[in-house]
Amino acid sequence: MEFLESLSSIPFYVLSVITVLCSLGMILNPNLVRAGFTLIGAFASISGFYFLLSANFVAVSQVLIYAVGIVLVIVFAVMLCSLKDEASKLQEYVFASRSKTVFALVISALTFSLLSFVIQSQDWETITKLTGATKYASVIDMVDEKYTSQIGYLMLNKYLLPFELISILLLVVLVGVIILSKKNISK
Amino acid sequence: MEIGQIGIISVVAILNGLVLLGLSIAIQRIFGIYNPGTVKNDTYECGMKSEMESQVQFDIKYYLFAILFIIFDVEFVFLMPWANLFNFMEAGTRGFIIMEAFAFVAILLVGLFYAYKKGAIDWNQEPA
Repeated sequence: MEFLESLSSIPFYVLSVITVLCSLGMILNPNLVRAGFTLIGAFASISGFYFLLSANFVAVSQVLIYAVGIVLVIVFAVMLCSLKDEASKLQEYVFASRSKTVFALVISALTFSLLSFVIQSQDWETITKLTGATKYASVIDMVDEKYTSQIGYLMLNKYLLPFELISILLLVVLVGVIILSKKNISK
Repeated sequence: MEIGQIGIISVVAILNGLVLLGLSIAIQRIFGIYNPGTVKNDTYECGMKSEMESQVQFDIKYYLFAILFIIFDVEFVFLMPWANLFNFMEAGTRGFIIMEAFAFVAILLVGLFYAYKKGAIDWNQEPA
């Protein structure tokens, strides 16, 4: 049985490898459209993590909004700007300058250390006690199939005003987009 | 299903895919004849010569449609828990829940009507 339990962590590692490879591909690819499409892989594998954690609603939102919507907008923005010549220049520029590479490395190292410090400094034992999950059963046992409707219940009762404000926000975005694109066309 | 079984199934699925893919690539590398050329690698376009690069500047209408898609995508995501909750509610409270969702959709319908009036949905018409 121990062999089987060690096998069960394999999907996690597979997803991690896919995420890291797709993210690296996105950063290192000089072709911006291809970089945008590798971003789909990164977002999709992150939603796979959410599925592993039984957070179905978050996973589906991740796919619908990030893997489809945001990537679509990024790719369209790239095709709109036609950055082909600039992109090749950009790659030369970034990797030619040593000071900029060092600066990027320092920023990445600082971000990584900050994130790992925050994760390490959490009192995970108290959190697991408060949420009622034991160490090995993890969060998966707490989540039942009514999870999505629980979100809906909170959204339509306690957080009703923010829920309705979201639609106002979306309306503002819609009107703003139409006005901005109108300005560009008349030019 | 046991979580170990899921592990075994995923390992078999991944190995199966990798082995088949690797085999087809290896067979092609061993037996295939690799002889590229400018004309050969060109995009096939009904026998015509291709005239320009594939990466051209696109019309802003595509971007407008993409943003419109995202707005209604987000709306759908927020309506999903509502639809899920609807099954679990008692008959008396369902009316109130329907009203809440209708208010949410109605505000966005105003936006849709605005987009329609401005000609943002009509592909051939310039937004006026």
